[in-house]
Amino acid sequence: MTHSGFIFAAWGIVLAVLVLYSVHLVLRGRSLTNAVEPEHRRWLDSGAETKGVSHPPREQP
Amino acid sequence: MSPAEVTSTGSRGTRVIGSIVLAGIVFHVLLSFVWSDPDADQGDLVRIMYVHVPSAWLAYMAFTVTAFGGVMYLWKRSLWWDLVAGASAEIGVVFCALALVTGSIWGRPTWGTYWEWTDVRIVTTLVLLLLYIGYLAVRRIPADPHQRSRRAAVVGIIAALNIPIVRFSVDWWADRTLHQKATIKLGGTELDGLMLFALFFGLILFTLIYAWMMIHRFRIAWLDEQIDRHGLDAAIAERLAESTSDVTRAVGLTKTGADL
Amino acid sequence: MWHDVRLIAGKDLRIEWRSQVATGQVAPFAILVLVLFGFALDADTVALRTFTGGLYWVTVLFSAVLAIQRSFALESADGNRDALRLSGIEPAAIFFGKATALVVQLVLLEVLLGAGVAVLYGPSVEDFPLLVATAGVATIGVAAAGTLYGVLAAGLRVRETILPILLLPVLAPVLIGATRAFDDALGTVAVNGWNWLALLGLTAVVYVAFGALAFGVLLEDS
Repeated sequence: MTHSGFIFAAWGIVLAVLVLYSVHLVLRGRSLTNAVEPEHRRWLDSGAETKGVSHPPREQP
Repeated sequence: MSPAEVTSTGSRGTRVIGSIVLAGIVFHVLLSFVWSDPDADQGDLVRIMYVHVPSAWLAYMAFTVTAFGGVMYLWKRSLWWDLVAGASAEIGVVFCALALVTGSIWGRPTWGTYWEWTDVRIVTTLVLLLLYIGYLAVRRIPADPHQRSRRAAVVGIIAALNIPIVRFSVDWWADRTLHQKATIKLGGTELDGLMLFALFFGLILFTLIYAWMMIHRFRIAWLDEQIDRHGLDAAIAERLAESTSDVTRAVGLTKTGADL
Repeated sequence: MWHDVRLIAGKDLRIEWRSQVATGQVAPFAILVLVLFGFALDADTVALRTFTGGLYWVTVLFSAVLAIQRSFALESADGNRDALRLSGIEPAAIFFGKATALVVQLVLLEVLLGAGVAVLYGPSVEDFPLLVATAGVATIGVAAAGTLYGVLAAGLRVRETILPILLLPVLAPVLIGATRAFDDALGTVAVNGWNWLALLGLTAVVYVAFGALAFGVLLEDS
């Protein structure tokens, strides 16, 4: 393969950035989830794709 | 799963998307490096295109979502749309930066320089990146949620309005050198079937990555919002409880003093 | 509505006239930048003459940032902003009023800068109408975008830093267009400047229209 240095650099940077950003998102999500009272995480519960609700109904813990 | 067991921003949905993405990345690497042949013009450098073009495409898509979220926010005044817009802008900036870096790496062996001012796409993309860095800066200014959302919506819409203007003006500006049109031929008849497929597979894969990131990023934004809203309440309640006991003690003391 | 526009513009211009900040600080700053470009380009007369259009417009943009900040610093003092909102004047009228005041100040600044460039860089003018038309249209675009972002940044603790990072990328097409049109008018590059003027006009229309619509949204808060 010609120019393999450039090609691997480009792919490496893309994959590394995407992985790092994903890890950052997951870790941040974990720490924030634990920082929020369970009753305010309600949109995260089962079948959690309830994002369409701007003000989800209050759920009793 | 009951809310009490939730410990992350992941869910069944993100895990399904995540698994597909992981398998898709393996497939995309094989497709890009093993199964597809070098391009007749670009040689092996075309393999950079399989990550570069999807990154650029996703950046534009993410910024469009941001503008749409801004419009919807101004219409519905729902924080949900604002959080979608903000989440999308951050991910868009990541993809935009990746598109710039990979484009630049591709340009070095192709043009002989990392930066070619006469290439419209790369210059436009840099201006875009700067526009959205400004957008993210506006979002980070501490403010009441709706105040922040209003500002962000306006900035996001202006930035999107600017995309065609920037694109057009740079296009025209760079036009005085005529060699640029010949540097890249993608799409159409220049690429054979498998190369075209690799490109489209990249688009689908990156769109799924975007979706996965959006769900996580949106939930993080939501949690941040909850902390802003309820964290302060909780802290005030705690502090009030403390000071009330202080007052009781103080009152108790005065009483004792009065008794003396 | 036009009465209110005149009222707001008149108020801003009167304050500027009395406080002399624009004449005492912004204008000298602009001239200073011209001199700095002279130093940076090693007083190379050919280079200075070739790039007169670009240097001129970069200077205008930097000075405009200062003028815009100044224009909204006026409103944040003494709760002026609340007074504006209480006055019952339409937000669009406030937008047009403040933008008009900015246009007047920027045009005066551009005339001064034009004189400075003529003396310091010595370009030759080939198409004077194009020069004037470009300056006019580009100024409207700058003032419209500047007014919108000015009200957004006003009153923030980070206003000095947030305004340029928001405004300058948005004005990149204006810089490109105005520079190209000037290049044609000054005969340094063979392009059709009137086409660029049309692009500038389109940009100005977009910024003015969106600014008038969105100004109210931003005025609501802070």
